[in-house]
Amino acid sequence: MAEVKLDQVEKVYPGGFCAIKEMYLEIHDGELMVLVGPSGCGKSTMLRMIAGLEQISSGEIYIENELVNNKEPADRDIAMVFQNYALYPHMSVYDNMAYGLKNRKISKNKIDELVNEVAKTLELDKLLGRKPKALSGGQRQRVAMGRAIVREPKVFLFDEPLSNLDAKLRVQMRLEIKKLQKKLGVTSIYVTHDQVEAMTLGHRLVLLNEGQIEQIGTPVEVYENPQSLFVASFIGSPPMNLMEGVINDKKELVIGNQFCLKSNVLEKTETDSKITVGIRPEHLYDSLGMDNSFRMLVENYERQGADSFVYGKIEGCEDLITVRYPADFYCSIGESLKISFQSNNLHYFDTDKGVRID
Amino acid sequence: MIENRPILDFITHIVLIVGIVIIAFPIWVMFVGATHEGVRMVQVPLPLLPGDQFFINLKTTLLGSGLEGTKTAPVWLMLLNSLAMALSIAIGKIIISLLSAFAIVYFRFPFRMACFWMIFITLMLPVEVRILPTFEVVANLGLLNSYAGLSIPLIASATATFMFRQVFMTIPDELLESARLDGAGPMKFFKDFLVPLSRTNIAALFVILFIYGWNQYLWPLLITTDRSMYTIVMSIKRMIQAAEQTPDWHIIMMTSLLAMLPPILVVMTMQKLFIKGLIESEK
Amino acid sequence: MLKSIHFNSQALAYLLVAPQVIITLVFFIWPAGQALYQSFLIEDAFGLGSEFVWFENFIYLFEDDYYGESFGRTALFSFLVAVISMSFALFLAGFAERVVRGGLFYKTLLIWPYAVAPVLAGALWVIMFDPSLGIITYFLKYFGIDWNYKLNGNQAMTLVVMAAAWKQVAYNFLFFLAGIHAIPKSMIEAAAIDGSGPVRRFWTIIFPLISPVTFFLLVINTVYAFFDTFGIIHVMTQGGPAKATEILVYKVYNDGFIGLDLGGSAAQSVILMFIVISLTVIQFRYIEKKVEYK
Repeated sequence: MAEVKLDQVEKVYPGGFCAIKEMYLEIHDGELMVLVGPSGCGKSTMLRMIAGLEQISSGEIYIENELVNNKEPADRDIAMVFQNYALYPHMSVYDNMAYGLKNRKISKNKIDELVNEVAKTLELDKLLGRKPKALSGGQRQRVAMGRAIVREPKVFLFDEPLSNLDAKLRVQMRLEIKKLQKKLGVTSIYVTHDQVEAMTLGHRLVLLNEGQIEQIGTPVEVYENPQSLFVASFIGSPPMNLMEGVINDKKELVIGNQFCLKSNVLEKTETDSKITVGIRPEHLYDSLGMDNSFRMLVENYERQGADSFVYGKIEGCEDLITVRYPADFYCSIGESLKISFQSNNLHYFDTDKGVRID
Repeated sequence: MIENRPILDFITHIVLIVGIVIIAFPIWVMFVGATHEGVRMVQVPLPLLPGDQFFINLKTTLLGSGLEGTKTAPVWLMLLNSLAMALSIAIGKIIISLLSAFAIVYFRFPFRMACFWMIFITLMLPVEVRILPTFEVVANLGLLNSYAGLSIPLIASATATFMFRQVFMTIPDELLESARLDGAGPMKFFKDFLVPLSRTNIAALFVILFIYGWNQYLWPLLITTDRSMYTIVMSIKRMIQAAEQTPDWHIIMMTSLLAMLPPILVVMTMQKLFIKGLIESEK
Repeated sequence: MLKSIHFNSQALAYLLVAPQVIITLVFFIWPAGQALYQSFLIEDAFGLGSEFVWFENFIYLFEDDYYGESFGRTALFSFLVAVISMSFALFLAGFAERVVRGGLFYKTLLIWPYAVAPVLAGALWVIMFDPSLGIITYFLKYFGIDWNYKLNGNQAMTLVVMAAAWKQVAYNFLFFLAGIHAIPKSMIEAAAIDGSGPVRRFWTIIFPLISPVTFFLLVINTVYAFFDTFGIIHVMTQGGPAKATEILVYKVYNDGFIGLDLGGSAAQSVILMFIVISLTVIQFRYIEKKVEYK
């Protein structure tokens, strides 16, 4: 159990490409911190730097208050679960899990005890004699985790461990990982590009974009209070509706031809500045009792099991809006729908800088 | 990058450099020997640093009439013979292997499998296990002392055929179907599709086969009795034996250098192709 | 093995395979058959007639001390060449794998001995170790070692082994390097995180995983030592001194072309044929299963 701290850490590749820009991050003891972002945002690089598999260009990394910049991966007391599991194909499940322990010169009896205990927890005890190629994807994943757990490290590192599993298995394993981490209480850093995984697994999330941290917060915080356009559009499925508009001389946000929004938030803006307003699909309704509304021209309509999704545009505005309705809702393409919402469900962002302004 | 300890990197480079030195040393000795005068080359210890006679020795070797008492042909002639042999073997082998692989993969005909196995058997019959009888056959066909005799017996072995067969197997069926719809007959398909698609494999194989052909020793030794047909690789031995009487070591070393040079140049300049050819042909 | 979409023109097919088939028949199958046949004959001293003697030639060979010695010698030669050449190559490949920059440089400089004909390799080494002029001989004398491979059978064997192994290092190096590169990087990293240093990683992870390559090279090196080394022997020692380096393939040549014992030489060829066939069968049978890295 340890806390991990990154202090002004930077990673620049020879040739000049800056993968990680001056990052400061604190991960609390025992928490599961998820690093999430699109491909190429630097999350794997960050994980590998913490593991010691990538060199840091500048800055310091501390594990349990100890500076580990110059420590070899083996000496950092960490364990890692790789995306493709990286199981040793020529060794049995037992040997795979025992390998790290053997390297630390732990007695054979103790190794036996530890491996069997972990195997039992992960329901691998009947598979100990098998080789990786005789295991299913889910079983291999559990062996990879078992290998990490048995080491009793200070920090667990997960590098997109569920990407290679099919959807159903992924959901199952997600729950198991969450349960396991809670039980063991080991500080864990989990990298994924899947925002559903991020939202369900993490105590806190770090949203990364192009090597920079966009926001750190709990899933709820990040969902309800995105600090930037990137976060707003990345978290949430279906994603938040974002509409670009311009401030007129009455400090109103004009979207499209006619839709005007007034708000205290907009008092400090300048005329002609570009503001983007966002609202989540589930906060748009067709009923009365809301304090505001707009008219939308329906372009498309999808029925997806328990929900229906209607896609349309406000007249004069090119941004596509998604509204979620119950399954039995019906409308026709070209129809003009009145969409209602509560003003306090709106999020305002500066269009060019991408940051939240309210 | 694990273990970013500079000391480990340093050791790695040292080890590799030492390895290279050990590997390169014999060639270096040869090269040095080729750059000195004959007189220097009989004084012990032999030199380790190059002399200044490179071009003079080169001229003497290339244009001279061979070593006294060695009964070999002029070096330039032998180089030519080697070139002819290497090219014939490489090109010949590629052509007939392409044709055979094409037939076996794309045609159904009686005895197809019999042909396949027969070609397969050649893998197990290197020339060294059948030297006498093969020599007899070649002699009976009157092919001794000819370029044909030097190359034809060596061009039918299976590795190239198998390699092309594998390449053809990976070409999608849809290609043939759409070509056929476009009116292509078998030979057109072969010429317009299979051959271009196999280009890199052909090039890679050419490198390997050229080296194989150039370096042939036993076979040219047996079937050439006429001096003018000697290849340069086979002449080395005679030269060394003759050195007992007339130690013109500088000529011998220069000749060896010339004998080694073409394959080495080919490997160095076409390294990628060479490596690909090696690995592909062993599958 | 046949493409599901194929041509039906049989005449063309025959035309296409004809070159290879004809050459194979004329220059491979027929001579092999001849060798087989001749191995059952003994020619009389004047080459005028021959007698069919069934397996007498073979029996003679099995009882012949010289043949037995040659066989043992060849086995030893093959073993030494394979082990030395492969170990050195593996050692270099293990280090070369770590190099990121300049990797091409090292590779280029290590692989070109492949291009050198065995006979030339032999020539190079024989010049370096010549009893009077050899540069290495000179150094050995300096250390008090008396070197004359022309008189000392063991030294001769050592010399040919070194020359043969030297040439093969390049080939083995390339294959070992490819094999090591095929191991997923994440597996090496996992082993590093699990606490293995470079040496331990090499022996517990890398070496076991390249075992198909190792086995493959073992067969190839054995075939090489048995057959491709004729040139080396011929130029260096001609089987001497006193047959100390007469390996089987050289003996076939010596007895056949020089000694003109056609029956005996043919019988030896046949035995060699069996050896190649078994080695090739082993190669195809056991090496064709490839290890998957999952």
